[in-house]
Amino acid sequence: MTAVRVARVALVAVGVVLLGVAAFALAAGVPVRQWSGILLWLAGAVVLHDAVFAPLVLLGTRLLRRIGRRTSWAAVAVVQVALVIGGALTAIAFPGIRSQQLGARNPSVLVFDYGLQLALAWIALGVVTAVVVLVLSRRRA
Amino acid sequence: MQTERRGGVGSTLLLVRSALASPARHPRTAVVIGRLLGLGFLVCFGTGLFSHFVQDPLPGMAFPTRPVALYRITQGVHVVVGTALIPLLLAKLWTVYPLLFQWPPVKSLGGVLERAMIALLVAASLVELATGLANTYQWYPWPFRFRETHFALAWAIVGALAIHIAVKLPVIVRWWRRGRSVDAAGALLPVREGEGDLRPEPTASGVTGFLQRRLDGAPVPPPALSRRSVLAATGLATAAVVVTTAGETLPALAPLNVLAPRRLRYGPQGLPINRTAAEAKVQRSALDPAWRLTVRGPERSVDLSLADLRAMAQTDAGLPIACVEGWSTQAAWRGVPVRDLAALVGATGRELLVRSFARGAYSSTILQREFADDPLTLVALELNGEVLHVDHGYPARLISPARPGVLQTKWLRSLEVR
Repeated sequence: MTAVRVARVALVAVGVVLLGVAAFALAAGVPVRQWSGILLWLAGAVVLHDAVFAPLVLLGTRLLRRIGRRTSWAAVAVVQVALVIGGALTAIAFPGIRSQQLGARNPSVLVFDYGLQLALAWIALGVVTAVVVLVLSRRRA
Repeated sequence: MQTERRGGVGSTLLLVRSALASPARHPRTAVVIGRLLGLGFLVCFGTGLFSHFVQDPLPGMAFPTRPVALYRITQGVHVVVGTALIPLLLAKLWTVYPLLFQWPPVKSLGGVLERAMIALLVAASLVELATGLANTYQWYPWPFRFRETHFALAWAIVGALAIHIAVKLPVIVRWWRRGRSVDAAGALLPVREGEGDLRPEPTASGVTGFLQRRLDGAPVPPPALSRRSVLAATGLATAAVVVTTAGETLPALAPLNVLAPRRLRYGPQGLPINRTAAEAKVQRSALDPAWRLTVRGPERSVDLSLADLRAMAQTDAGLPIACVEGWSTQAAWRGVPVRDLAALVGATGRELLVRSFARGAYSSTILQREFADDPLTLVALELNGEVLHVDHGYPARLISPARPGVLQTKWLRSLEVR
């Protein structure tokens, strides 16, 4: 057997054992009546990503490409990077915003106004992106 | 490129894949992002196991008490890396997304297992990271126990990951090194048969072919720029989520903390709080002048008033409060070493049951021998130079090195040998 083959067999064996521990941990730690909830969340997460989030990203990409052809590919790339950063910050801030709506446990938890902070982050991103795009276009001109 | 005949579903999926085509969707990209993602998950798994067992040790387990910031470091890493994994996971899924639309969906029994394993891996990873993040913000919108589910899913993720790596190993090996992945000009090499599934789509004929040519004819950015912007976006988004949140535990990043649930040194006496005295309904018993700390050993038992405790030799200890939620703050504590109290009742070197006036989870916990015997484990009476705030556990609380905050019992009632 080659090294790759040995490694593959070993990895599958390790994986099966770890999945066995997962099943045991689930059975031992989580009441059976909660399993359907977990299953719903697992399926829901995949559907949300594969059928909602990813198609939206595709749509956005193809839209930006149309703009890119007419303007500058570099500028569009900068905008894309900024959108991804902003999207990631939004994903991180979202539970903070939601939790704050429901009410913090005490004043030392949820110490920021997450909606406001996120808006400021987007504004800062917008400003930096505009400056970079401007510099890029100056350099081209 | 070959021409293929296919049915309606196959044609539709081919068009979807053509629409998704991007120079950055290449096995090399999947390997570059994937190995960071895998490493991150392993780090979270290891630190998570440590946190789990330090709270619920298996029989015979003992834990190091130094460095005193050990738990602060491991749990800080757990939450910071876990947060960083969110953009990395989404970037990895973006790279391989066209593979979701392969036709036929599976070619063999092995293929069924492979796709089932990927489904489990993706689902478990998404839920693990999303619920983990929400938990740090104390938002719990799910109908299942968090901690036990987080623990079980963690094992499922590393298990499915091992099998996924086994399946993809030839592709991973092929594209592991940069030198074998790019040509002299730095452009990614084309993917040949057997070198990965992210390959150029076959050219279709008829109506499908017409639509495909329209999709392919749409403008595309230069390949190098496309790939660089995907990697830059992934790296910068990952850095952004870390930099804006890690300051709740990492002093160097505190000035950049703008989105984390907590702030360093923010709370009564410069320390954040999870459960207040009002929430724990302990205000009456905690502020009662008749309060006594019961210390029960195998030989005898003593009831100590606050004045008794203050009259004993005091020890100063600089120890962090480090929460499972990932925040932590260093603080200066002053009080009586637990081992001095244990010596009063002949309980030296024994494991202790620590009980609080608060009810509910963690109202009684085990202080393992190595922590009970540590000279820095205190029944603390003062915090940062002041008498303990009631929300920090007045009149007396436990503080010990290298342990999670939930075990640093507030509003102490008794220390007992079981």
